[in-house]
Amino acid sequence: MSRLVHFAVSLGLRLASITALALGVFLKDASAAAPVTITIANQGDAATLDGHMRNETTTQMIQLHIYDRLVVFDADVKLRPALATSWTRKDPTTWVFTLRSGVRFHNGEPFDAAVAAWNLKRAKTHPNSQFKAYANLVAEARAVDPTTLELKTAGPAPDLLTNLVQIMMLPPKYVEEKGDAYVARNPVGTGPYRFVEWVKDDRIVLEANPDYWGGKPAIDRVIFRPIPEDATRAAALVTGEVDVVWGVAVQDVPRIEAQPDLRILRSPTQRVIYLSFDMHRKTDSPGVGPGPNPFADVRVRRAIYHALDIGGIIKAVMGGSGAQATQFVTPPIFGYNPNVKPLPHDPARARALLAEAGYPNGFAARLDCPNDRYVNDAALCEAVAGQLTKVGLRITPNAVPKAVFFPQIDRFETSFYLAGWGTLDTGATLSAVVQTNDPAKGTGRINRGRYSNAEVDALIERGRKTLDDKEREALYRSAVELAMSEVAWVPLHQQEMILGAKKRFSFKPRFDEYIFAHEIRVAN
Amino acid sequence: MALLAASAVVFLLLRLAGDPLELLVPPDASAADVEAMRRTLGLDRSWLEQYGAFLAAALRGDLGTSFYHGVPALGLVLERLPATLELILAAMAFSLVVAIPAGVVAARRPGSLADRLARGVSLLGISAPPFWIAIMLILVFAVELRWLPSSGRGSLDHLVLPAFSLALYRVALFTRLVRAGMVEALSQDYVRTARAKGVSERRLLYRHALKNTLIPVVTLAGLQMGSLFAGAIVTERIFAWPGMGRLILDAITKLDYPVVVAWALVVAAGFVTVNLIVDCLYSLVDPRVRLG
Repeated sequence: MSRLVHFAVSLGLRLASITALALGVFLKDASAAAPVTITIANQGDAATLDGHMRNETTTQMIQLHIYDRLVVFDADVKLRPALATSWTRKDPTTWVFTLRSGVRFHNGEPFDAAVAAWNLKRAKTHPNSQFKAYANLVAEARAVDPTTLELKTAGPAPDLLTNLVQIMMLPPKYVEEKGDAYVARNPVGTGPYRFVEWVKDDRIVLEANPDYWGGKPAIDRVIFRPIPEDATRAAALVTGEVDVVWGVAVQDVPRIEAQPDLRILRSPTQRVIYLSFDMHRKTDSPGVGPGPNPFADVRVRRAIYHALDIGGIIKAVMGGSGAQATQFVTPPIFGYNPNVKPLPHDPARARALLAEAGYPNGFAARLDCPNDRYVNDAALCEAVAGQLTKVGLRITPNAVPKAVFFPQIDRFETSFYLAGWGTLDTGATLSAVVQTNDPAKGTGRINRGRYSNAEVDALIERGRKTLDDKEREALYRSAVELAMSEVAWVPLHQQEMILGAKKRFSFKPRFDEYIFAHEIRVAN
Repeated sequence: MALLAASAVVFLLLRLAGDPLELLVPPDASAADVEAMRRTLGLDRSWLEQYGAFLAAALRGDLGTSFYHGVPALGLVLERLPATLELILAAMAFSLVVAIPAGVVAARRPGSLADRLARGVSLLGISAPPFWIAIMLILVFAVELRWLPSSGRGSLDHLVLPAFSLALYRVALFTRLVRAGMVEALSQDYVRTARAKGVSERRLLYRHALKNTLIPVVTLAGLQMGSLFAGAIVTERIFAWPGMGRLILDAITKLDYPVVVAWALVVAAGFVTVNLIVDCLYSLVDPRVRLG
């Protein structure tokens, strides 16, 4: 017995001393180091540090500090040279790239055209590569000499460059010697930062590469910390434990703005949240039941667009974060059509259209939504259903986890659904989202409402083979206009990215949602 | 046996939860790529075949490869085990160290200020949602007072808030248990006899009465170890603590079956071990209990 009491007492003393020690450690001044360190908090950790294995924002954000690509996007999604300094087209299917000379990987291995060709092949053929869809465009990659890379495509491929933005350059000798599993945890690239340490789920530490071809970055050390909970991430910025946070929740914005040394940065993103419909079945649509499918009628789809107060939804559900979207793609993206305007909020017009379509008393249907995929997705689902009751529709919101939702809508087991889609290349989006669903041709993979219009299909197909930018843009814009006139989607809003940062670190938020330490300037 | 049952239940439940492929391949992957990935992961076979293959591999110590991380699932779980153990052991130690004296003091004079305080605080600890408590702790001790860091793991000060937040409910639970046991023990004949004999009050409380109260405390402590593993999931997420709980939460939302199964097996094994230790502790606390 006394042993137990003794144990308890000594443990109590230990805990007390630990607490005192902890306080002491924390209260000590930690601002003596001369080199600049930045700590960036993300929602999650990297899945892997092998640049070809995971197509996911946080993972790529971290990897892109270590690895370079041939061409890159700037903050406004304009193409810029990187490891490739220039390029020309010899004929419609042959591209010649001039590569930067004298570039070496962090371990000393040289970068050249053969290395680039090897990487394109790995991204295309490795069984676990998540970049096959991008690398597939390259039919053949050939190193003409160390600084000249020739790429052949199967047909005219105007989106080759935007696809190359996705392919990171790894050192072939190192990868082949060490094996995939080792590389996934010990990355070596040519990028602005070198890998130092990875404590899983706690931190990834990088240090500036003094030999970087773009010059040594201003920030010497970068620490990425995964903090999954929104409130904690914001708190860590307020306490000064981190310097930049990715993804600030709307309710945490005032707390950050109240701090004199912090600021909020907002940026539109590529992702559009939208509603779409079963436009394929004439009768017996799964979310409506036996009888005619009202969503097959364009007047019903128009009525729903008119019935929604989308500005009100953005204000009430999204806390004012985000702008109303008008189409499949968003403004800075090539192919966006500025002439396509949203249908105005007009419940009277909505009722009239419903009556005209044969539903003067409305109808009942289910609205399928994910509840863990987009910002406030379940609340959006409720809000949309609520607003539609005002024009006499009886919509049951059905918000389920993404692991249930996406397989369900991929099997077309829906009549009316809410989803989101991000676009950096309009051609690829139109082909996946608007073009007729045809597994054999690989078109319309995300066209879960099975919208189908031969004229739209022809415009998209022609556009995807047209190398002339002006001509291609006109074709894409026509396709967007035509599909939107038939309300293939009701676009709700363009998601906004909200970042929080210390004022001494200044940078322009990127449209592609990445934060790059080498783009951050430091004030003292 | 317990491990086999746990693996079968988890294996089956997960397959009812949805299709992981949708979350594993990028949205722009072609149908052929999706099917290729399905075959690579062995998800094209029937459930029974998959479970059979899993068991055969498990017997060789291989619990499969994480779909998401692409490395062995057991390794992912085990490398995060120390962080979780550190958290739950600290929480358990803290709750016992606080609850036992608090329960004794409260039981000494039922109805006194100390008693009412202990009961009031423990009511709060039991009824407040752990999620809310954790966020409040961050706001008060990290954001307002700046005494402790809000999140992460490193020095000991990082441990204080998560361990305290995880411990609070157990402090309340054990305080109430010790108090009830002590109140009952103090009304027993042997206590009156001891008091009549002139045994000091201190010795009476801690040596005579408390000892008879400890058996249910040890039992509950053993059972609570299991619930601490579960409670750590929420705590680890909020405090960004790099333990198994966060891994499993991610794995569940991503339907990363091998990781979920590996986690369940590690926790089940831990639970079995703890209960074995509890059985041993009985004999330490109560000499009537002998280990056969």
